[in-house]
Amino acid sequence: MIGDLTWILISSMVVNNFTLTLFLGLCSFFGVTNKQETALRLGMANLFVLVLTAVAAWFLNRFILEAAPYLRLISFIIVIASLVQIVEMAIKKLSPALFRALGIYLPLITTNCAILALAIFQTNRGYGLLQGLAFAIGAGLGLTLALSLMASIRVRLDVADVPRVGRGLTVVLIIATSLSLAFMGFAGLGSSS
Amino acid sequence: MVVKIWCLATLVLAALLMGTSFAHALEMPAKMRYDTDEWMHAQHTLYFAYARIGGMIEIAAILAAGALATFLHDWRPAMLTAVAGAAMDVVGATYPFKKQPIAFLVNHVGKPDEYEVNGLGCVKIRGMGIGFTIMLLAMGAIREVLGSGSFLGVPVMGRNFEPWVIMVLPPGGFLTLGIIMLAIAWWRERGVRRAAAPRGAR
Repeated sequence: MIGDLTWILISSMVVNNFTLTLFLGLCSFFGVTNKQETALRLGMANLFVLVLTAVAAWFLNRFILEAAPYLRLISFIIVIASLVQIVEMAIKKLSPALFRALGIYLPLITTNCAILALAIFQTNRGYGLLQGLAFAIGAGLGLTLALSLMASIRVRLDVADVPRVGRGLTVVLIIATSLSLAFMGFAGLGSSS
Repeated sequence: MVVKIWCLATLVLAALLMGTSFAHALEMPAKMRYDTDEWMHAQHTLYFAYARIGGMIEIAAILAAGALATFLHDWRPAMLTAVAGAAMDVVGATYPFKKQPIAFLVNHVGKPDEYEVNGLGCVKIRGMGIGFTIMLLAMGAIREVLGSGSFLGVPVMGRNFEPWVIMVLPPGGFLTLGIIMLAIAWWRERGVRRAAAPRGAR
């Protein structure tokens, strides 16, 4: 059981990294990785919402959607969005400092494709609550890893002498290529177990 | 003189391209009635030369019209006409390939036959922006040709071609998009540089 959960965690964190091997959540990957701190914060916010999503999706699948499977997609979207809304209001009331730190990213995460993908993967693979939680934590850590790796490279890129045509998003895409290539190396992890 | 010869070559290539596309359009109503097996069979037997020769002609026609536009960039009306011609070529060349470019882009690796069957994919694509579609087609074409040595499932690179597997893996997507953006940035940069340079110095 523990081995199974660990494997799900590691797998979703590095082997099937949401951003670098599955192309999910690319908008934030390219959009807000200008600064290390922002990227880390966004990764953490993602992790938080992913865990909420996993629990919500499990609850919906277990108790509600059995009766109406065709409502799966729309109920996921609505429940995740309203959950994030409630959490946002709670954070605003309880801890204004954290609310300011997260800024626009918390509501923005609601419509991130990585979040919905987590719910759908979890459903298709038939994960239970614990497995879903492990999956969500792994995926969240993987996103945080990808974002902070990218941000730390981009910070150094500011002082690098990039040819003028390659400045901006182009060189970032090329860097993403090599990061993604590096993550392909983890694909061999699964073959032995 | 060079420009005149080039004009003629472009015209011939464009005519050939439009010919194949028109033939595709004409046979489409009959083909839509085929079931999966017949469709696949026709697709894999009839269009062999289409992909090998026709594909080359299509690409050559687009390139030729584009090159003509660069030749004529000082003479604005002629350049605009050539650019419009190149755009028409792109539309004509993409018409037969209207079978779900997203499938080409994302997952043609595992299931080569799934998207070819769905002849109605064209309807969905009309809704997207043309630019997005062209981008998807370009990325899909580059990745398929380099990554598996085939175009629309038909081998085009010859027997001894070793596929660049990296192009069909996730990094290939980032790389292709990066290189396309690099090309566009280079093109823009060139335009800015030319506009800034004194007129005689070109």
